Amino acid sequence: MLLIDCPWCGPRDDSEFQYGGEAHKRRPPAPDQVSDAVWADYLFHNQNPKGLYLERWRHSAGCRRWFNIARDTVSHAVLEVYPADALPSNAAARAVYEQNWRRENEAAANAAAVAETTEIGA
Amino acid sequence: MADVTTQAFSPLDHLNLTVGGPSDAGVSLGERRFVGKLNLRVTPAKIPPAINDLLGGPLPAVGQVTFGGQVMTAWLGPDEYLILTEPGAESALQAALLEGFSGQHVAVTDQTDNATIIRLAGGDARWVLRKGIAIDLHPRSFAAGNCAQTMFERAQITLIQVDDAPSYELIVRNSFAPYLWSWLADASQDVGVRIVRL
Ligand SMILES: [Zn+2]
Repeated sequence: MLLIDCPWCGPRDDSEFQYGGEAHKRRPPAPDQVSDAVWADYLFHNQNPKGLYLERWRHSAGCRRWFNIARDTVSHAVLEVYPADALPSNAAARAVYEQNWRRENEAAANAAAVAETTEIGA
Repeated sequence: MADVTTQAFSPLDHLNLTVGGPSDAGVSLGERRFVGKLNLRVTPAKIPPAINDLLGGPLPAVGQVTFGGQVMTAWLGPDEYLILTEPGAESALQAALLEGFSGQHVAVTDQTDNATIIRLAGGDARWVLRKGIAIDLHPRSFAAGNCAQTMFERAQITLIQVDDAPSYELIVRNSFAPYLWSWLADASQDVGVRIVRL
């Protein structure tokens, strides 16, 4: 049993929570403007590491609030619980955020996709 | 207008419960029927004094309830509260709250008919409750005046400890009420249970 420390309600069984997938995924602001590849990246592709991972969780059977946690997928150790609209302050968790392939590719991929779509349309 | 009170029924009515039981029972079990329930969504920093007057004091802090005369208010989330009133008083209170917030961005939703309240009380109440609940009910972490939304076995509940008897109130959706009642009645057999009318 995984014990998750809800930022509002305190430690509760994981059965009270709903898993929300990888945190810090940025939804393309104009989905109809991006390529299928970029949209697929947003919908389906995840870091899925063996180790520290930044995840979204919701306390669905309690206060029903979304938040983020930095969790080790091997040991289940939770390094940090932090707000849904913030970045982790823990150094290891911050490194996971910065080293995620999305950080490098997000801006470039979106720009390229918009250019490509425009080209096809022209 | 039709007299709706004669038509009102509780989700536990079909269990045909009989009041009574051993006088030395470890717990008593009863239903608080038709208690008014208002859900309040509001930013806690902006509460007009008129609202505090209606609720008998400031909004409760995290994990707590406030008792204000005829009204009890429970914390549900950082911007969400549950207000319990005497049966039938909810519509007037809803109107008064909306007037008190005078155009502020809030929601006051009448949830009276969505759920009922089961009260489990007595010396062995904590012991019985612990059979179906995972949160720490030891008085050092959950005492009179505390509330929590959690799971009781398969039922989602809002749990309030009302006093040190201890007495607990379990607010449960109507469709889960017979399940929760039956579970509690069965789990209470070894300490003895007395069914009471509240
Ligand atoms: Zn919570």
